[in-house]
This record gives sequence, structure tokens and C-alpha cells, in this order.
Amino acid sequence: MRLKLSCSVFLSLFVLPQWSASSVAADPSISDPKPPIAIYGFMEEAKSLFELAVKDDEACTNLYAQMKKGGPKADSVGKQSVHVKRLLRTAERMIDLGEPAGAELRMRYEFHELERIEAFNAFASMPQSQAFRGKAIAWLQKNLQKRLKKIEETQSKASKAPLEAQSTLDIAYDEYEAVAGILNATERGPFSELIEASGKLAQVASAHRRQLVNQAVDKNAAAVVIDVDRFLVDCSAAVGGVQAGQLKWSDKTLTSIDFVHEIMKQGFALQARLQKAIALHQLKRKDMASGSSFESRSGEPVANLGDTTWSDSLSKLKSGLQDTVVKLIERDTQELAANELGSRLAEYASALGRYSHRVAGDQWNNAFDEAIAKSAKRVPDVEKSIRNYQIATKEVLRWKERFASKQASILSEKGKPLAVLLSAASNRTQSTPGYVATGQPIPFFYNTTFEALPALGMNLGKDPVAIVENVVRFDGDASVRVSKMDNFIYARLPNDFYNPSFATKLKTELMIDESKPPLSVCAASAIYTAERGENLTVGGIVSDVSAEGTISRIAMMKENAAPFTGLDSPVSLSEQPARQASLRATLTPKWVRHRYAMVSQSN
Amino acid sequence: MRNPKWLTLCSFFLFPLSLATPVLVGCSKEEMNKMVEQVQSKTTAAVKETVAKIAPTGSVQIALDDGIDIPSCSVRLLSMGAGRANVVQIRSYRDESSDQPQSFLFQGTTAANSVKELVGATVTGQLFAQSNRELGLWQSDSESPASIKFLSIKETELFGEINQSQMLRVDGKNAFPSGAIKAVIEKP
Repeated sequence: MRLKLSCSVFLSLFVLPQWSASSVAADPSISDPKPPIAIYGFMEEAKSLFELAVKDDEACTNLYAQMKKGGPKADSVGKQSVHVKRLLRTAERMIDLGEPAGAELRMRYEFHELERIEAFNAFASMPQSQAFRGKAIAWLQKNLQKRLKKIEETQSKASKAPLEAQSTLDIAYDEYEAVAGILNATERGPFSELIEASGKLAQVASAHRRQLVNQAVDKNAAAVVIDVDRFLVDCSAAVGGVQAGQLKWSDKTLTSIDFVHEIMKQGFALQARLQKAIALHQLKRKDMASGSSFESRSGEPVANLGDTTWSDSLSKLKSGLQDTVVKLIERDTQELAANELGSRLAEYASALGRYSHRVAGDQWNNAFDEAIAKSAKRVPDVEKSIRNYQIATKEVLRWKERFASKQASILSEKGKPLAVLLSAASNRTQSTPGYVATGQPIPFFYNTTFEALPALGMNLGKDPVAIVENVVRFDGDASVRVSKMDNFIYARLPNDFYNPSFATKLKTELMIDESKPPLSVCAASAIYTAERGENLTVGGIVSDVSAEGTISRIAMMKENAAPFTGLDSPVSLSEQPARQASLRATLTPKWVRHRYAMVSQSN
Repeated sequence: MRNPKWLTLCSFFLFPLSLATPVLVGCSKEEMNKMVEQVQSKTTAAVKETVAKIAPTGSVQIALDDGIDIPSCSVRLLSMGAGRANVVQIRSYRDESSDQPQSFLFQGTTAANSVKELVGATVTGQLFAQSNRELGLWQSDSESPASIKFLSIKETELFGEINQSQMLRVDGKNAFPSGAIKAVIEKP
């Protein structure tokens, strides 16, 4: 009796959120609000549940449209009832698994339930419905023993394997609902055995799913924390054994400079894993599991998140990387021949210039430059050369930053920070259609994406101008740039807007060419970030806004997306009640500022 | 410092007392000499300070906004060796914390090996300045850099004129100002 549709249709709907352009279309947005919020599938079962829910959501829409056009039919009303009820139970199981998509699908259920009641009433008022209902009651009577047997069978399995028992009972329930779906409550009365049994089993299965989630979260978390500790111990051991510019790292012999690149790469990968663990840790919250919307409506107290392991581990990683580098520079250069010292320190400056911007402000720039200056002291010529270079470049960079910052702040007057703009537009107000007025602003996501996103679009108006700071680029060759998340809001920039041509001029200003490398990490970082287009401030027009599950976004992050969350602090998710959805704006840049200059855009 | 006035009054009365105390209680000749020395050295330091105050501080004038006129300016030559040209850095402030409007920085590279050798030379480079006016922040256009012609040295000061250079204000306005500098030569 279940609707058989080809698998490929649903696979095309079922696209995991990733950072590729193709998947962007899969998220619900103002321009296409129909798709449900995507899942992340931390728990394997969520994937098949989502697939099923998407099927049912679509089947509900189609059946309602068909009946609206051609009038209600007995089998359509029955089928509709199967899809609507199944959507509810699937959504609730997804909520148990911590999937924000579950909360949104549950709201879709509420929407389809109203459609179902409409169709049911229309059918019930038709004279021929009486005969169908009689047939349905007879069928239910005839198969009663069969159903009771099924219930007994599943009850014996329930305590050991509640999820298996549940799927067995599901089949019987859907078969029952397809027939009982045309009956009213009185008519169904004598045949409520399956409803009761399913309800009881759902409680056992729900607790079981929550337990599985908690175990998986803890296991995942413990592994990362242990890996961070081990990594830092290894770093310290390797630096302790540096000799003649070489050291041992995982059974390999590396030059000290290659070691810098290696630990940064591994450190950022660990940082990405830690941020994911922090996001997943939110799944242990009670209100994540109880939400019937994007936000918990119940306002029930959240599980105590007093566990500081995450932020401790993250700050240990950040300071551990810094300490490793500072000690490495000291030990590696203390016995270096005078004629090699200058060039080795320059190599450090260039290497570290690739990473220092990963920490906010100038913390790493200054710490690494101090270490370089300290090592330079041994040889007066080297010391003079490095000190004078640092003095000269620091002043020019400071003035350039001041100028660019002021230019950007003048331009910023013509827009609002993205988070401010979208938060304001997503507050429901008394005039927002479809909402119950409460007299106070409540975050927007209280409804399905196909209702919420068009309303958000309306509130935003035409061509809203937004400003994002902290635009970062993903590691490697990818030209994906996003702004860091701010109050559950971030922007994604087009791939080709950045024009690095000013980096050439900046090089001249910082007295750098092929044969003359930068002698400070500050200068090296300035050039590196200018060439790559890192840490930008961008003003532009919000051309679209998509909704994503917050935890999905962080938890699905690939390692090269580490800059999105950064090394400085755990991404802030512990808002109460749980914020399940985030907004991603598509921004068309009007102006772009690098730390040291306004950047003309590529055409 | 809840009551600075009170503290000032106290120290005013206590200071002479503290100096007089050893005399009152009686002290050796050596100790006396030591005290005299201390007072002398304090006096010398105070005199030196006064001299420093009237020592040249340099100045900068640039025809930007309502006119930038700063009563301090210094020049230093930064040499880096290793095939890099030397840098002439001229600025109106001592360090970042004292860089308040009005202020000015010029920096360019040169073949000269000392400030003395700069006389007669013209150095091109980057010029930054801020006036008292809101949004009065300027930088030289990177396509046509600023330049300073160095004219002479008198005692401890280097004199030069800022050639008319294209400058861009932070709000997009352009100007073509000239100017003059008198910069105290910093010891290398």
C-alpha cells in the first residue's frame, strides 16, 4: 500500500550540505523555499529517515493538489493519511537524533495535517463515502487477529531491539492507516490497538535513540581531545630534538621549516574536528530533542553544558602551536652559523606569514616576530637588519591599515552589518503574516521554510546592503570565501570577486622581491593574505538567503573549512533555547577591503 | 589617588623636611659630601631637561585641509644591509601611542648611507598625514608617489621641501599639496 516511487527521484532531492556550488541549490532559500532543511547524518539512521520524510512531504503535497483538482477519493484519502502520519513519526525520530531538519519536517507535518483534515472532511461529506467506510471497518475487523499477533511479536523484541521492533510495527501501522485513514475517531475506536502499541514503543525507542546520540557524541569528543593532547606532546618532543635544522616527526626527518608547515596543517585539522565536536555536543541538550520548531517552544531547561573540555582543548591547541613555534625558532637558531642566521630567520618569517592571520589581532604576528628578533640578537648585523626592517614596515602598515579602515567605515554607513540586518528582518512582528502576535520579537524560525523564507525576503526589501567582516578563505586552492558566523548568520561570497593585483604594489612598499624576502611575520602575512584574499571586509547586496541547520553546518565542515570557525574561540551555539537554524546570505560584493587597502574587484 | 590635592600638599611640606632631617640629627662629612653630590646631580639633570625643552623639535607644514602644521618632526635612516636599499623615515610623532592628529609619516628608499648624504637628493616614497579635521586622513597616491627634496642641514636639523604630490583623502577627495619639513636628526 505504500507509495512506490523510483529511488532516483528522491536521491536527487537528498543532497548533503557541502561547500560545493551544486549543493547550495539544495538548501531552502528565499528564491526557492520549498526544500526542507538539509541533514548532516551524524547518526546513520538519520539519512534513511530524511529520505523517507522528504518522500512523504512531497507525496502529501501531490496528493492534496490532486484531490483539490479531481476531488477526494477513498484510496487517496487513505494514502494521504499514511504519508501525513508517517511524516510526523519520522520527523520526531529525527528530532531525537538531533537533526534540525526533523524540527522543520515536523512543522511541515502540521501544515499537511490541516490539508488532510480538509480532504477527509470533503470525502466524508460525499454520499458514496458511507460504502467505503463500511468496507474499511470490515477489513479492520477481519485482520484484527493478525494485527494483534504482530503487536505481540514486536513487544517481545521491544526491550532488546526497540528500533527493529519499531520498523516491524511501522509496516503494520501503515497498512492499517491506509484503510483506517477514511474513518472518523468513533469508527476507529474499536481498532486502536496499533495506535496504542506504537505510542508505547515510540517512548522506548525515543529514549534509546537519545542514548545512542549521547554515546556517539561522547565517543567522538573524547577522541578529539585525546588527539589534541597527543599532538601537543609530540610537538614538544620534536622541538626538543631539533638539530642542525632538522627534526623527527612521525618517523620522518623534516627540516625545521617543513615542520612548521606540517604542524600548522595538522593543528588546523584538529581545530576543525574540535569545532565539530563542540557543535555535536549541543545534541546532548534536552531542548534539541524536544523542539517542535526551530526553537524550543517549551522553554524547558537545557542540559547542563558546564563541560569546558572543548574550549580548554581549543585554547590549549592555539597556545600549544604558538609555544612550539617560539621554542623551535629559539632552539633551531641558537647554534646556527652567523652567515646562516639571517636567511633562516627570513625563512621562518615567510613560512609563518602563511598562518599568523589565523589568530585574531596581531597575537601570532607579534609573538613570532618577537621570537625572530630575540634569535637575531646573537649577530649584530642580523639584529640591525631585522630590527630596522620591522620598524620601517610596521609604520607603513599601520598607516595603510588606518586609511583602509576609515575608508571602509565611511562605506559601511550605507549598509548594516549582515547579522543586524538579517536578525531584524527575521524577527516576527505583529504585521508578519501568519504569526500570532506576541508583542515581542521572537526569532523568526517558528515555521516551515516555505512560509518563513518568503516572509524574511519581504522584510528585507529590495537590494538590501550588508557588511561582513572576517571574510575567510578555505584552505588549499579552493576559492570559497565565507564570513565567520555571527549570531547564527554568515555570508557566502561568489568565487571570483577578489582581485589580488594590489599585492604587487604592497610588495614594493614592503621592500620585497624575489631576492629580498620579508624579514617580519607581519610583512609576510600582509603579502600572503593580500595575494590569497584573506580576512576581508566586504560590503554588498544580499541577493539571497538560505536556511541551514546550525549543527549541520558546523558538523559537516570539511577540514579545509577550518578558517570558518577559527582557532580563537569555540563557535557560539549555546544560546537558550537552542537555535536550530542558521541563515546564510549570498552576498554580491560592492566593495572589498583587505586589512591594508581597498581592493578593486575583478570583472 | 582619591585626593591628589591633599597628596601634593603633603609632599610639598614633607620634601624639605626629609632633606633636612640628616642635618638635624647630625651626620659625617662623607655623608654630607654625598648629599651635596646628590643635590648637584639632581640640579644638573633638571638643567639638562630644561635644555632639552628648548632644543629643536622640528616641524612639518603641508597644505592639506585647513593646513597641517605640526611642531615636531624627526628623521632617521634605517639600514638593513643584505642588498636592501636604506630607508628614510620622517615622522611627526615618537611612537604609535603619540600618533594623534595632527601627524605625518614619510618613508622612502635611498642610496644615501647617512642623513648627511641626503642633502641635495630627492627621495620618493609614501606620505601619510592626518589633519585636525574629521575625515582629514590622507595618503599619497601609489601610482605617483610623493617626494621630498632635501635642502640642507643646520646643526641637528634636516631641511626639506615636500614637492607637490598627488594625495588622496579618505573620503575620495584629491589634492596636490606642497609642504616643508624641518626634521631633527635621530641618532642611528
